[in-house]
Amino acid sequence: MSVLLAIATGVMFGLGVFQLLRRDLIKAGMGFYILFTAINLLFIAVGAFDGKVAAYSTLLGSGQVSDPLVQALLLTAIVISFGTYAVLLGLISVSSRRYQTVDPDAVDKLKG
Amino acid sequence: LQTALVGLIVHALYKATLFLVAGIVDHATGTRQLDKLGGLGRKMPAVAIIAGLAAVTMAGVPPTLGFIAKEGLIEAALHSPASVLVTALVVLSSAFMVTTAIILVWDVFVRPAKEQHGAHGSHGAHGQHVHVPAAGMVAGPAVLAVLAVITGLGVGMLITPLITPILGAETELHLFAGINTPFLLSLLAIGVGVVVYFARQPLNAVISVPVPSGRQLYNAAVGGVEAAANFVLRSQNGKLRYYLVAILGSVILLMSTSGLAHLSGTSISIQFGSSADVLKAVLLALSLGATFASILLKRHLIAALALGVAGYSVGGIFLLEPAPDVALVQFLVETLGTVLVITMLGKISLPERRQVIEHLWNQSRKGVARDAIIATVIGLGVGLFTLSAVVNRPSRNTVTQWHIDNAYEILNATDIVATIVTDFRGMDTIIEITVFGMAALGVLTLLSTPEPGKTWQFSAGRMLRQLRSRGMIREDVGAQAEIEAKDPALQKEIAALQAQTASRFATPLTRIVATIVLPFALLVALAHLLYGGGAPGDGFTAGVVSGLGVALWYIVFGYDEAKRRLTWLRPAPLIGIGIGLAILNAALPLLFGEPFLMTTVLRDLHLPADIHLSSTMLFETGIFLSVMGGSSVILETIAHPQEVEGL
Repeated sequence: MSVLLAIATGVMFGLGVFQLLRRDLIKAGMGFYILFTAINLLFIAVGAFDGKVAAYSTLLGSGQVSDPLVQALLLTAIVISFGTYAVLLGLISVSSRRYQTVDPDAVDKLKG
Repeated sequence: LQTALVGLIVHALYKATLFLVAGIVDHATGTRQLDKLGGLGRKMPAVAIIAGLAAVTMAGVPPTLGFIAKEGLIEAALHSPASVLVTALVVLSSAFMVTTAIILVWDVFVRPAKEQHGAHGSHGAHGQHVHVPAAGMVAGPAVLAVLAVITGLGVGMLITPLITPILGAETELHLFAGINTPFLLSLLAIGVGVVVYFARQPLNAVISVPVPSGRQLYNAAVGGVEAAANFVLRSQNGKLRYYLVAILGSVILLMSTSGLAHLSGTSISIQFGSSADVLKAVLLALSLGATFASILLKRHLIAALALGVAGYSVGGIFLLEPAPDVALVQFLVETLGTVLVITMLGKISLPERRQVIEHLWNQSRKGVARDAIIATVIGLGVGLFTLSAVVNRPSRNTVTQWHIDNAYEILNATDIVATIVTDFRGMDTIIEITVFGMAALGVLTLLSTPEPGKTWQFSAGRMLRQLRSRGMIREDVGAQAEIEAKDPALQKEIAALQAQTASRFATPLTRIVATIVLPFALLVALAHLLYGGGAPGDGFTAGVVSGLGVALWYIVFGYDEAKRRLTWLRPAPLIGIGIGLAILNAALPLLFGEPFLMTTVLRDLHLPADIHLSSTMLFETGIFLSVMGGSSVILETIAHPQEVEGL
């Protein structure tokens, strides 16, 4: 299963990069979000155990628990990526407000 | 390594100080050009002293930490392979540091100001407009500068314990190690530095001497760098996209070569262990499909929703992992993120969006193909990298196993993930909420400094002022409410503007729902806080849940009304309070001689409803407050009605 997740990570990352290269700040922002998702998939893929039950002490007897360390890292990653995403959206808003465009190349031209 | 660590600390201390000082000088005088500055010492004595301390550290004069770092560096150089050359270089560079330090302090703060040449009239603000910086501005660098000296004097006490855990061995650092080679060389460096400073003027004057002066060498070096830069610049066309390609591409290139090396010779097989795996695969396909759709979809709004679908599918995968905590956070964040994108889209006018969409769809096939190839290559690289990581991972991870075994015994909490987040790796979490809070404040500062004259401002008072300044109404129209009320034209305008910001979702039903949901969200948040140790959900989810409740208010009631009715909610201070609480909780054990972040478990407290209390609760509350504050700040600023032009 994690092999499949690894492949999916690659595909997702590629999609994110493609989106990132669009000449459109909104789409590029979405591209970043796709990259974040890809990284989240990576975290799940590299988990050490093939878990059957959630990582709770009370469930330890009833089967292999999933890898809690990876999940803790994942929690942090999600929060940070959300913060980053918010800043990106803020930047896009600023671009729209200041240059009246969300086309990165047009912003270049305005700068002269 | 020891030297490097000390050097790192020294650099942090004096560079940060000098940057801050430079900022203050720039702020106070409006220029950073050395030629225009001078005599600031009399006007800003405190800043001058700070800069002096930092400069002394940089120069490596004895009582400071800088001296110790330099001693160590010379010592290390003496023992290095090409010792003569390396030592000479080190001494020379420290000599130049001394020169720089003197230039900095003398020219900017002590030397009387040069006469104005008249030509700088518009810009040369020094002399007249120097205003003394506020105490708060000076305090930051002051602390750092004093630290630099104190750490030098008390190096054994302060720095050694800091770096010993990193090195894992006893270290010895002395302020004065006796008169030995490094000490003498160090003095030599200072002497040379001073000489260079005084010889600077003649050196500058006699550039025509046949022996290449330092300046000529410098110029030659700069020329070389410029030539190289020009070459590099030819590849720089100012398009963000190509920079990204270069950065990502090189990283992938570096990664995938090692990835391939690890992959060769291992067999890869895809096994479906259970029905859950099949479901996971389906969800994976769904998320990939939705992501792909978000690329193909023309309209931004729909694309954002497709991304939301992808995110939820990933959340589903987390749920099946099984990782309920992560899944919960993923669902919540996905929701908040989608709300955020849609809110932001509402702030970007339709013509702008239409313009980029048209650009995008009229893009040449060649361009699309090029981007697709780049994306494929990078995706392949990442895929290989991940694959090699997956194939080569240890099947039994001892670190993880330790966490699993000890979570309950040490912390009396059943949710292992939560214990890792709040205790075993609590420091990470403190940093994490700090980053999140900073991100929120970043959004706030980004969006709350609009271009003058491009902003609609909605309070009646501001509105009046703006109209007045535009000459649309007479100056003598007072700010009094009575006069405002009597001015029908103005009133109409205000009403029209307010109507624009009022939400179109404000039906009686949605209003009631929103009103009810927020208290419930807070209640759910409380439950998450109380049961964080034993069930999915923790301070973070609590924060996001209440953040979502607030988001609903902004959507349903519109900005103005939500702001008016949520006056009790002051999100920005909440961030600070939350982070403060978390750090306080971490620091409290220090008072009792326990390590930083030690968790105290209150085992014998028998509370109703199966609640387990420990000091983690305080930490969770800190996380909750800062995350709620952060997400509210982000929402509020992005939802702020500036330049509303219709969706």
